Amino acid sequence: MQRQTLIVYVVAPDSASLSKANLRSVWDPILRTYKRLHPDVHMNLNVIVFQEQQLKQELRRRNGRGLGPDLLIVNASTAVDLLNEGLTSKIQVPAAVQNSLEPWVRSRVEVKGGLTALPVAIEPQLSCYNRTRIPSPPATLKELMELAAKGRQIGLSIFPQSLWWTTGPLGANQAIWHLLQSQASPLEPVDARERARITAWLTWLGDASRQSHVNFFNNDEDLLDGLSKGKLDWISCLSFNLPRLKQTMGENLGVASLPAGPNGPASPGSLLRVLAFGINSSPRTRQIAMDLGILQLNPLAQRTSSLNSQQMLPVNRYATPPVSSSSRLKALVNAQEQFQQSYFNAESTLSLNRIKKHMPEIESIFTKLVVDVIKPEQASQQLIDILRQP
Amino acid sequence: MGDLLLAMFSWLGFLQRPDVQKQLVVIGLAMLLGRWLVQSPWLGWMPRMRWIKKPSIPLAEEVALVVAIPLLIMAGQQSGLVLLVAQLKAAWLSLGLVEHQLLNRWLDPVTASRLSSRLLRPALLLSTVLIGLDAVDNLQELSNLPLGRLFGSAINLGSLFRVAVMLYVLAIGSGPPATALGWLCQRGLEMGDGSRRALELILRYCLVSIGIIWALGDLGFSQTGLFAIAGGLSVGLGFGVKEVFSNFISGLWLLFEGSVRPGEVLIIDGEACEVRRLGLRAAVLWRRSDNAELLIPNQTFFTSTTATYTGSDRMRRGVLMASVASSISPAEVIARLEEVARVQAGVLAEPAARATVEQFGNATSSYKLTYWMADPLTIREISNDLKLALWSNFKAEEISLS
Repeated sequence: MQRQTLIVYVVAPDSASLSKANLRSVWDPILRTYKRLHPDVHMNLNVIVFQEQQLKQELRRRNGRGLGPDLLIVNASTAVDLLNEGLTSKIQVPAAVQNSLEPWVRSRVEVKGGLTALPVAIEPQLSCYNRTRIPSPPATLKELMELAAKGRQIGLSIFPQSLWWTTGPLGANQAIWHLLQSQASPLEPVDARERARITAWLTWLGDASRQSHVNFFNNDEDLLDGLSKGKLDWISCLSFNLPRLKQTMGENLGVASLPAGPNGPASPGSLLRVLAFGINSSPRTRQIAMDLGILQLNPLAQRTSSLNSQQMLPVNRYATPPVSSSSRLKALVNAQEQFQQSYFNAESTLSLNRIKKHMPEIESIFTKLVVDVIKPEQASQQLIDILRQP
Repeated sequence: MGDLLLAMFSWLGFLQRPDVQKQLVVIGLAMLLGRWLVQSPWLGWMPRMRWIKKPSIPLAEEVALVVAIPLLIMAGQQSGLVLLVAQLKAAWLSLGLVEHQLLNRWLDPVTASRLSSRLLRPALLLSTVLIGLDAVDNLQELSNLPLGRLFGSAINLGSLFRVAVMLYVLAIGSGPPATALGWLCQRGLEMGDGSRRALELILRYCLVSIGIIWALGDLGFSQTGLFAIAGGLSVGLGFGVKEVFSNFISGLWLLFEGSVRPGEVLIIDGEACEVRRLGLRAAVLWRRSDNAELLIPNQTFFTSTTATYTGSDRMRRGVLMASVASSISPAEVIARLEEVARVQAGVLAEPAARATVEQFGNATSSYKLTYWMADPLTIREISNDLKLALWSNFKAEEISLS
């Protein structure tokens, strides 16, 4: 019998966001299936959690020693960065496997001559709330503000990626995308309608910040902590935070899609979890890692993972999530539909990368806006200036 | 514990990787080459090498490792593991250099050896292990691995490791700060040497006690757990560890009372001995006459009478009996005895030496000379020197000394 060890790195914003028990619930059925298919191989899986900010440095160091991982569970955008820096290797999968992926999922990982990584799950952004304090979740931004007026504590993040969902209901998302994709000179005047939509969105944020029960936080960790400890009643969250919240809140945790607005549905984010492949694996372990990855894409395995974890959705278009047996999965599906409605095209990914370097400046504008240091019109102008930078 | 074993087992999986295998082979070859170069007579045959001092084996191994790194890079192979081993080896070589060139030069051999074996080498060994673990796993993750439950508290690898290191550092490293504080107190409060040493010991005990309390708290011991430990100790005190506990309490009591402190001179079995250390279980005393160290349980001082020369002062009185021919007038003998003692090195001028007549006889009369010395342990030497001086002085009159 062959004894093989697979070193798997799981990348999370922080170790508190990650439940090893939950990871095991996803991996164990796949390992069991693999064992049935390959009874001659004894698999040993070592899962190591790393924080995102230390990942590249750690990988560089470990790969240089030949002690890098065989597999990395990361976001699709991180996988692209890692491949560009030569820290992971490109993969090729059979056409049938590639074709089984949702088209938008495939477009996020396709590169010339293969894939950056193998997508395995989708984790959308949604709303998490305390069911004892909020019996039915707000469906619109107006209802959300009414809840705040009634004394419910609302938590919002000023981190641009976490706050992006509010652009859709107020129509600012399209305006921002247009500005990001525009090749126009920064000196050319901005379309008045686009400026008005961005200003309307920032005016709503400014108004919300003046409500005594709407609290802005500069990191998602404080939001999660607030809801867990009962200091907050409603927050926006990512589906991979659900096991942690469930652990502390139990049945009081309510999950729903994010509120819509006068200009359309919410525009939530959605994390695409992928398996990136390390550069130090032996040919044998690489093959096992690939087999495990492909097994994970099997429609049945995808459904089982969704059902067991209650935090992720399938990437295989032939796997339908079992929404009838879980209201939480139904909320996840609704959130994912919102995401796909507000998702424009593949080029927008490039624009997102372009915006990445300006994140601290944008965060600073939001901070000044919510503490009333600048007016929405000034914030709008500053944001437009940043978005039009090359 | 199962998770820890699983993680340890998975590290072996790295050995299956070709990149790792190649680097391990290079490390092995570099070590062999370094060793062979130093031991081979070929080195001596090279005319130019004779001018260079023969390198040690570890240094030659280090050089071979360093040379292997660019060769691996040029061959397009991974070299990080070789670099890591070279760095760790360099750290150990540097420690050896620090020990030889700095510690042994600036500190006395005993202190240097103690510092090296108790602090520097364990610290470097610990760092080496941690660096090794960090190379194959994530230290943060490893520290969160659960080891089990003790008295209702979940113990993980990180907290256990942290507590063990902190207690070791406290036990070993509390000496210098306690000494510094003791010195400051001695200067500020004009304390004696004995009091200073006692204060140092008490400070060390306090630091270690605080450390133990912190350690139990850090491990998350619940009150129930502490009660369980206390209960266990109570039963133990009734049976096996009664003597140990009694000695420990006696030691603390003696320290606070100040009756037996390091530096004190006590009479043990009729001989003056200096207290060197007051330990948790026993006191270590030094007997000057045969340079023996006596290990005496603390409760001995607590339960039996002990004579000391250093209770209120450190002076000791010596007595010398002399028989001198009755033909010499007693006044002259007394004056000569006191004069000899007065000029004798080691005999204190104040209180002055006194000679008295003990008994008149037909042929000889007996005299008693009492004198004082500052160091109670020097009585043998001073008594010997004084006898020699008196013999010279009374050579003609046939003196008999005892």
